[in-house]
Amino acid sequence: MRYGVAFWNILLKDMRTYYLKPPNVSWGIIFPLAWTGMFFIRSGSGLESVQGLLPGVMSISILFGTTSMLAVTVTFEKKGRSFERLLLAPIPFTLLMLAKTSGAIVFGIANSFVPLLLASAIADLAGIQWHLVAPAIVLIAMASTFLGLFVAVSVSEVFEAQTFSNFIRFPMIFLCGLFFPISSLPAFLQPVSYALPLTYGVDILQAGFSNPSAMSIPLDFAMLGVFCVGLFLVSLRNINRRWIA
Amino acid sequence: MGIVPDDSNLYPELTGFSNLCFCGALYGMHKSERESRAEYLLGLFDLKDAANRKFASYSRGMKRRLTIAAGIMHRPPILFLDEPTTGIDVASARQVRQLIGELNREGTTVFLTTHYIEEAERLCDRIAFIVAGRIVLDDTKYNLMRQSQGQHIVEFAASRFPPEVVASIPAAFPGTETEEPSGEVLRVTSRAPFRVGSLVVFLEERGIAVREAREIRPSLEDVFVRVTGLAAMEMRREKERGGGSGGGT
Repeated sequence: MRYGVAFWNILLKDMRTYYLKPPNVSWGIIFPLAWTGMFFIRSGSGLESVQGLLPGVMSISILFGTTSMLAVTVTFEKKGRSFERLLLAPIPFTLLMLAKTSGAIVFGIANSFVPLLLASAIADLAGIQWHLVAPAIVLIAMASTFLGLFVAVSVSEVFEAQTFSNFIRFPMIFLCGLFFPISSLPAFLQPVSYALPLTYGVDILQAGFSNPSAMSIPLDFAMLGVFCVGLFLVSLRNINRRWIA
Repeated sequence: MGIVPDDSNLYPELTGFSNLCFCGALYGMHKSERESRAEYLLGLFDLKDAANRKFASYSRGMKRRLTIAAGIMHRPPILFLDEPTTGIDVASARQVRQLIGELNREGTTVFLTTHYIEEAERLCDRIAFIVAGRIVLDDTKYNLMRQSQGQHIVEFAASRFPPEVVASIPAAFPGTETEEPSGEVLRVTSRAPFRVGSLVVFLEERGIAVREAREIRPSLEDVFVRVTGLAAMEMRREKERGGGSGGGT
């Protein structure tokens, strides 16, 4: 119960304090929104193509939303030394970091619904397989958040976090099969695609929107789970090593 | 245990009240409990009027006071205070010192680290001197001061003190030692009490017009200088390097 109070208040404070911080607004809200709008306008070939675009734009919204949020929540607090206050609190470190990342996960999930809502206004989305889409959204949000945490721990300024994130985010857009299949990429780039968490998330979303998926869905879920746990543990180790030890 | 760092590291976007409530929540305090505690502390620390203002808009002294309040939100029996009065105005520093004294009287054990030796002397019961990160002496204030109380120090001020006159003082007044902190000040130290009037007459007879003679009460700083061998200049350098003295009440 005691930990629950702390967890909930950290999450609530981050949501209230950081959701509307300028770096988060520009990279986490405006950019994915503009990207989504651009694709919807560009797709003009017919409303049926909207379902083909949704996995891509939803993934981008989650990816940019979560990583931008993490760049703000962790980096701002590290710089202002208020993160030390959290580290001193009698909360298990893992729980503290889960609380600290939950705000970004929620933000990413909420962000994913923006393209979905826009699409629902112009196309029939009745065929969505929510049992695939819903867990995929949550897992993509978690994996992207922990990727953002990994980046945020490695830098000291918010702009560094955003810049460094872009080195990962933009190649990911083109390598994860968001808008064209991995099989059409040059052979030397295909292994890179399979080393990125978003590849598996997009594959599940494709299936959820009745588009052809490249891999088996259980494998996609398993790989996303591995990325979530792996990135989280590596980030915890880095925080321990760089900020605490 | 409560910790108040040297930086006022609360959340600039939150109000004073919200900051305190958040700090209480980190320790698992429930809403009603943390709200009433926050209101009490805002009153105690004279911040009630600024309770709903954002922390970023506070003055340095107000930030310092709120940071200390945040450190005791969860009623810790032990409180660590790092440089509580550094960088704040005289009135705020005075207020912070009064608050530290009150906390201690109410039963909180306070570990205070400070570069201001007079602050440690005023507030602490037990003092540890730290030089270059190592404790070089740790004792009660009473014991530390007693070490210096066997000394009698008198400072004389005049336009000049000829060296031959200064050199003749220990012979004329056995048991005394002399030093000149500056060209216009002569410091005479003795283990036993000595007649200041006789010494003034001694100096006057040798052509020295004594402007002032005053007894110097040994301070904790004297103890520090004697124990560590660090002169004033070195102490300043030590401060710049980040070492210093510490104590606890």
